[in-house]
Parts: sequence; structure tokens; C-alpha cells
Amino acid sequence: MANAQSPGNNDVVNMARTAGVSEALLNRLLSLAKAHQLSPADIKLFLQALVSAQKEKIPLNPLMSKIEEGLAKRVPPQTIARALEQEIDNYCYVQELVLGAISQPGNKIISSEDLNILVDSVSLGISRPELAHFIELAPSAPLSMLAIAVENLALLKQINFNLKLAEQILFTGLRFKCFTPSWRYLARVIAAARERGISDQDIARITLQTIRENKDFKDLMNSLGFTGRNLRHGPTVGQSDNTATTR
Amino acid sequence: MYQRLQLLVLCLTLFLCACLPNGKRFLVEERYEEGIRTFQQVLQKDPQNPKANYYVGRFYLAQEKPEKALPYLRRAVQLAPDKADYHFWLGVAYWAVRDFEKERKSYQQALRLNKNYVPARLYLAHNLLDNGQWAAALKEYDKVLKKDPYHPEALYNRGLALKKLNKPEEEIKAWKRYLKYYPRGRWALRAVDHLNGLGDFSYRNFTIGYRRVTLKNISFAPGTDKILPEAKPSLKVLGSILSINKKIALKIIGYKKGDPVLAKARAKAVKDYLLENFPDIAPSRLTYDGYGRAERVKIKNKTYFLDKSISFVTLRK
Repeated sequence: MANAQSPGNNDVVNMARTAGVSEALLNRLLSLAKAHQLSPADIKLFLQALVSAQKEKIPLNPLMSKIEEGLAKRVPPQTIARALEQEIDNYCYVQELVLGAISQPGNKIISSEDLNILVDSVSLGISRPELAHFIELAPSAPLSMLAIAVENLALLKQINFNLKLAEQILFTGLRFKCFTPSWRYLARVIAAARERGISDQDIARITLQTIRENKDFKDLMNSLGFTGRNLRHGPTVGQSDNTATTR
Repeated sequence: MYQRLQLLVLCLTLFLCACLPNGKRFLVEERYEEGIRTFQQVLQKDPQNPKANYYVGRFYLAQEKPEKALPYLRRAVQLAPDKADYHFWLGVAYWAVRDFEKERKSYQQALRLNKNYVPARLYLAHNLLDNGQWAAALKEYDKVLKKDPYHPEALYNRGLALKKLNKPEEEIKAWKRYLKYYPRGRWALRAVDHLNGLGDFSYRNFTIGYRRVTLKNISFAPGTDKILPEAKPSLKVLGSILSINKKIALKIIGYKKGDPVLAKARAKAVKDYLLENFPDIAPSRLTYDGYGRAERVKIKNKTYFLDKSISFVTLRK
């Protein structure tokens, strides 16, 4: 790293290197510092956050992305640094919670992507007790499905979907282990269904029925009256499999 | 000199195009993983190649990995903003992540580049329908049908849009139009349910054996038991089912308000037609009867009375 350094920062940079922060990431930070004319004090704040995260074995790329995003939006560096601290704290909490809840040794392999989703959900408004409650009630659910359920809960809360019904849907989904990756966008579909005038009760009824009948997400969308798309070939003549049902 | 230069550029372009792998072939042959590997190699040498970005995006999308597809399709659009189909497929990828607003914008951009691009217009219509914009969806479906009058998705969803717009007469016409071209399959069954729900029984669904089947109303010359030609395709469908599944025993019931004799004669005429045209159906499998009253048909909470009809009841599967 060159430029934008002070003697104090050199120590932090070396500490970061020793802790295992990659040269590529350090250079990325330098480029940002140059582009946004960050002060040495600000650079130090970010470096300290990265070192802290590295020590906790937290993936650094998402944190770097947050720094980039914050700076692009002209958020003051101190505010970004505080947000990073919170993020790191959330990450540690989630990691501990998940590791503590997993009963099978084989399940101790935790995907960082899934952990990131859980951490983001906390940032989106899921409280720590809520998250703990979720994990407690569905300890045998695969982490990937838990992540999908929690993320959807966060989004459904944001759109003021009936909370009781949301929890019922998500817990039932976890119980039936139906939350494959395509269910990740459940909240978006529910939001769109509400735009069309379908009540929360009807949405919940249809979704629960789909889950209990072990049907997939496409079936749910169909039941809610959405049309489909052919991801391989686009619309083809003679195939009427992309028509909607009425709701 | 200038002409030679033009010719040289043309040859070079053709040569370069020929050097790119054939993306379409990978799609048609569903060799997606291989396609990704092949085009990633192109991207390693030329990351700004729009076609390579496009195809990698297409392959990921075909594998139902829209999150992976999106960056490539976005890049393809950035690099070649005049390609309508790149915008279209970006729209499809947005749909796959349920970002309906961005989906719509992508199709609209594709149509700005090529207003005759039917797939974009069809999916735009779907998007509007999904979003509850019934009138706008109907308009787009009508435009699709101007270019492709037999498009099943446009024909069917047109009916749905009209239902939502509360235009029952037009809706009936729409269902009949759909059923005229696509009288079989699960969407035909649904179209008939919609039609019957509006009190129109020109098509009906019957359970024959284990299957639900759509049949056009069995019509006769007025006052007679002579089956009209338009009824025969449905009777042929029925006969085929009975020929394939030799266990099915069916009762044919005729209804004619005020005329039990004609009702029974019509039911017999249907039996005779089936036995004549499908000699491998054992006569004992078909029984018939007739009633001099209207047939009562209950659809949801409403009861309809059909003054003249032929109904089919499975006695044995």
C-alpha cells in the first residue's frame, strides 16, 4: 500500500497483513481511500474493522462492499465504521447461535452465504430474540432453509404482512423442509399478490396448502394467479404451460 | 481503396463471428454446463464480449440459477444496448428473481428496439396481468394476437384479463376462441370451468375413467337424433379413451325438456356412433337412458338448467 498512509496506519496495515487480510483487499481499500480522499484516521477505522472481522473469521468481502456502498452514498466514514462494528457483532452472535443449535456433527459445515443472509436479516429488522426463537423452534431444519425463512420474515415484516400468518407459513415451511432456493423470493411474490388485492388470509391459506401438499414454488405462484416464464426457451407456440390461473 | 478496406473489415467480422462457439447449439442441445465452460474461456480473453456474456447468462438461467445469470445478462445489455433479445432475456432473469418492476422495464426496452418482438410483448402482458393491470395486459395480448393469432398463452390469459375487467360476454368469446384451437389438456379444462361459470355450456368437462376430459357439447339437428358434424371430434376423443382403457363402463344420459323419447333416442345415437366408429368397444360397456326434463348442473353456488344435453357418467373405471 502506498499513499494515504501515516506511521500509525502502517502499524495497522501490518497488523491486518499478519491477521490474514489479503493484499488484494488492502489494495481495494487503498483505492477507495484515494477515490474518496479519506483521512488517515478514517482508513485506520476501516482497517481496524477488517482486522476485527478477520480475527472472528468473518468473510471480509461483504464488509468491503458495505464500505464501498457507504462511501458511494457519501455516508460519513465514522458512521460506516459504526455500522461495520454492528455487522461484525451481529455476525458473531448469529454464528454462535447457529453453531450452538446444530445437533448433528455433520451439519457443522456452515455456508458463509447462509450466514450472511441470517446476518442481513438482523440488519433488516429481525430482532435477536426473534432469530433465536426461530432457530429454537426448527433446530433440525437445514441452515440454508432457515436462512431463507428468516430473510423472508424480515421482508414480510417490512411490508406489514400479518405477522402471525407469516410465522405460521415460515414455521410450517421449515417443518416440511420445503424451502429450496426458489422459495427465497416468497416475500416478493406475496407483496405482488397483495398488490392484486389478495388478502393476507388467502395468501396464507394458499401458501400453507402448497407447503403441506409438498408442492413447489412454481405451484404456489400458479395458485396465486401468477403466470410463468420459460427460462430455457422463452414462449413457444403450442405450449400453454405459462398461462395463469385466476384468483 | 475504401471498398477494399470495407471488404477486409467484413471478412474480419465474419471470421471473428465464426470463431465464437455456437451458443444457440448449446441451448438447443441443453448442454448448459459445457456452454458455460466454453464461453467462460472466451470471456477470459475478451471479458467485454457481449455475445459471450449473453450466452453465459442464458446458460445459467436455463439451469435455474438466475442470481448467477443476472450479472452476465446485465453486462451483455451494457455492452450491446441495441440488442432487443438481450433486454428480453434480462427481463426473464429479473422475473426469475421476482423483481417484477425491472422485468417490465426490460421488456419495454426490448420493444422500444423492436416493436414486433412477440416474446417481449407476451411476457410484458404476463407481467401486467400479474401486477393487476388488467386493461393494459389485455391491450398487449391483443397486440400479440395480431402478430400470432393462435398463441395459446395470449388467448388463454386474454380470458382471464376480461374476467378481471368484468366483461362476461367478451370473456365467453375469449374462452370459446381458446377452446376452438386448444380443446385438450389442463388449460382447456380450466377454460371450460371459466366458461361454465358464466353459464355457457358449449363445452363441458366430464370424468371418463380416471381422467377429466373436455368435450364439446354434443349437438343434434333440431327435433332429431341426428348428430351434427361439429360434435364428432369430441365423440372421437371419447371413443379413443374407451378403446384404450377397456375397463371403463360408461352411461350416456340424454336430456330434452318435455321429450323423454327424443332424449333417449339421442343417447342411443351417441352409443351407436361410438360402437360403429370404435368396434373394439364391447357394447355391454355402454348403457344409455333419457329424461324428459332439463339437466341440473351445479357450478359453485349456482344451479343451471340445461334444456337439452348429453351427459356421461363413468360406472366403472
